[in-house]
Amino acid sequence: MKPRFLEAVHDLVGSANFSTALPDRLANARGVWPVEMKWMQEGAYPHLPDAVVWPQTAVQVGSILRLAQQFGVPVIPFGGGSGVVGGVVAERLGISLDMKRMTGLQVDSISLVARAQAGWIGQDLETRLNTLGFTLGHYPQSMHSSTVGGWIATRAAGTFSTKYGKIDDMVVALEIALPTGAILRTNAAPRSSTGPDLEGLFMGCEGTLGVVTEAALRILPLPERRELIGYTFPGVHHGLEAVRMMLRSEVIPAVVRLYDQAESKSKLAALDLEGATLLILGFEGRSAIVEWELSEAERIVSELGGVSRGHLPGDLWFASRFDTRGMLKANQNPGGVSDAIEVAAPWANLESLYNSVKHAAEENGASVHAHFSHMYLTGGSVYVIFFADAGGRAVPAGGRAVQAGGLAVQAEELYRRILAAMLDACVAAGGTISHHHGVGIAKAAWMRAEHNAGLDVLLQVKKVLDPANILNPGKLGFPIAPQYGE
Amino acid sequence: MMMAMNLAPDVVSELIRCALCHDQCACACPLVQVSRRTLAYPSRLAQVALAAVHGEIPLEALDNSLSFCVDCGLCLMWCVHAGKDPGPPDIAGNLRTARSALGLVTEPFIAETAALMQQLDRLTPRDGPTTCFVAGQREESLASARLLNRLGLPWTAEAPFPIAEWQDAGCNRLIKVKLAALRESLNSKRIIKVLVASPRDERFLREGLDMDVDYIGSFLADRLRALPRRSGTGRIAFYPSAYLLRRSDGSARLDRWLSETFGRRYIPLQSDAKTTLMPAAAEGPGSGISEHYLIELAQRAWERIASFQPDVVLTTDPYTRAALRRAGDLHTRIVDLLIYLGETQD
Repeated sequence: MKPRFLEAVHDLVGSANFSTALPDRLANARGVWPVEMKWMQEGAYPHLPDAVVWPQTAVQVGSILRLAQQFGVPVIPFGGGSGVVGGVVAERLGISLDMKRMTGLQVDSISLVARAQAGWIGQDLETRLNTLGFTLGHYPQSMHSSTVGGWIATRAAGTFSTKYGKIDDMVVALEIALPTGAILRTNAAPRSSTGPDLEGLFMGCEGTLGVVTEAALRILPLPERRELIGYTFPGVHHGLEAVRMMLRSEVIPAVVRLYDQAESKSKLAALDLEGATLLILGFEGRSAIVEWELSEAERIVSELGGVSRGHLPGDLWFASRFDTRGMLKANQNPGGVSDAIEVAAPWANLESLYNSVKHAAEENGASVHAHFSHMYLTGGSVYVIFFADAGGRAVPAGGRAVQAGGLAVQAEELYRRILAAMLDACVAAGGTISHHHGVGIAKAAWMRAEHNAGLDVLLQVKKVLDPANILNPGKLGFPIAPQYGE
Repeated sequence: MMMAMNLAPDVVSELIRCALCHDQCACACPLVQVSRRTLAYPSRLAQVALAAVHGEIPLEALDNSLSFCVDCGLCLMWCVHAGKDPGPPDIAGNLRTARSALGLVTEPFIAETAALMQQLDRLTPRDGPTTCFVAGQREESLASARLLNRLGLPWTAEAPFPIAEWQDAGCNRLIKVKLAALRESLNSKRIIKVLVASPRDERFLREGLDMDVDYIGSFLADRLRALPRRSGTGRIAFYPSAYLLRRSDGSARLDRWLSETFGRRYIPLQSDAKTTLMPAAAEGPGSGISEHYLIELAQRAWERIASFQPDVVLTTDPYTRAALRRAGDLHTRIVDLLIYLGETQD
């Protein structure tokens, strides 16, 4: 790390907002990608940023980026560290730009727009909005640690997305710091006809093109009523058809979760219910509309051979919706790996996508279950969740996987093999490799297959905006080296 | 010289589970709210501890990050592992102990704590029978110390720890480790009563010490009954600490004291809180205790609180108070019980 750069950044933000202490660097070195978990178990963490910096204003962020460009130092924007694709790994070292101290908020209750700075943690923002009578309607599983900036950087989705949309649907305008130091502020008009959508360029860029410092977000009045209902079906196909027909009939659930037979099995057993697959729907909004949606949903479910199972399945899901212990337990075992791969496709090939990706994981020795959620008029997303074991089950004394013959290393290799097979299958089946987790370094190798010539367009944009490649290098399929080369 | 740390296997196992977790407890942590540092996330604290166990990070390098944990227990409430012990507060305590063994001093994170420590350093046991105040790093301790001074009650700080050690001890849980030393020390002094700043630790100390042990809130409420009170105080509601609902019966006793002290002006929310805010079904493993996040609790409680139109809502810890302030309206005073009791003396 160049001392003069660090000194300049230190002088810019002050001692209280600057740390080169090892614990801070360690804390900001990772997200929760399973491979990062394995690195932790393997021993010395391989990629530590050189410093952690907490900017407090957009101007400070711009100034830091300008200095970084001048000195050629990588900058890794950091929110809550909840990413699951290695999006904050400091492969080329550099500084971790922790945005959590940017927590300004202005609520325009007339226009239903909340201007939130990037450092808001999700639950805190939602709670604050709730006290004012509003909701953002964005409830990702990570909402207790993830931030507004991170949501936008990855184009995140919450569990109520079928009604409220993904974060991309909620963004009205953005404030972005660029490597030149300039601060770009887009217009918060509801729609415009003034050229391409600049917000779209930066949403999902994972901090590789600029750093989102503030977002104007569409908010809604708190719903009058929420209903969570469970249904069972003879199979996945029937459940999917029911959801598709509902959406075509303008019945718009906020929550849609259709579990395949493997994932339904334990849930149905716990509920003492018979059936092959479990569907949970959540409706919320104006009471009269919810009432109509419930009755229409009931009719459609019945026509497709489904059976209503009342509120209990939905209530139980709601009560445990942030519980990730199943995957945590698998990853805690040094030889174990588990991940949820969220792919998406149009309705016409959604089922075949599910079958292909599931089969690919199973062929590599993984046990798999899946659920469909985040459904749209034109298609939907499926989480294919896999569990595999590289051979060891017991946590060795001291917790060091490496002491047990490098199990964590083997597990990482196993993970990468399964992930590759699943993403290859996804591409072949016409799906997108990520519905809302992002790309990071986990899925970077598939960006060419995903975008074809589009990746070249993105790379040209990257070269123009970030000529020194200092912004989160190596993510999103962009090169890691300081020079782009040809 | 880089020093590694030895921990019991159950603590190491917890470190791994906690370090690999997905941080659902992060925004429950008051220190995350205050510091906005990722290092304050309980999982990252566990990660750092794990690195210390493995000798990958020297204990000397941990600096004041360990004092991030103030042992409020809110992470345990939110824990997807149903708040299994040992949890992050124990992890932090173990790290502080390990540092202390090396002669390293952990600087306090909260400036106010530092001020109290300086004050305590100057204190010596007074002549004659006195009260021992078992201090910790929690804000309750600070409020308690202030109030004892304002009331002019003779007191001394927790006796057995030299200040450097006390400074390192930090959280009340460490008392568990040093109970024997505490007992021995107290027996050698003319201590008539032990006050505990955290009701959570009251029962533990009561069992461990053959002495009169009381929660400081109860003790002060008792004292105040005999004193003249300001008139026109209006109605008072008491909203207990979130962690009391889960981990202790201290709030039930406090409820009784408050009822006796304030009579009909006191609105007992306690019994209802336990049934409506924390249903038994939510206490089981994996049942989503984490759903009952502090602020959600406060929001749900607020409707009931507001129906009584109290002038004042009392709480016992700063984090619950902050949650109520978010949930409540701007016109109702929400104050710490100890502060309020102090005010009634003016």
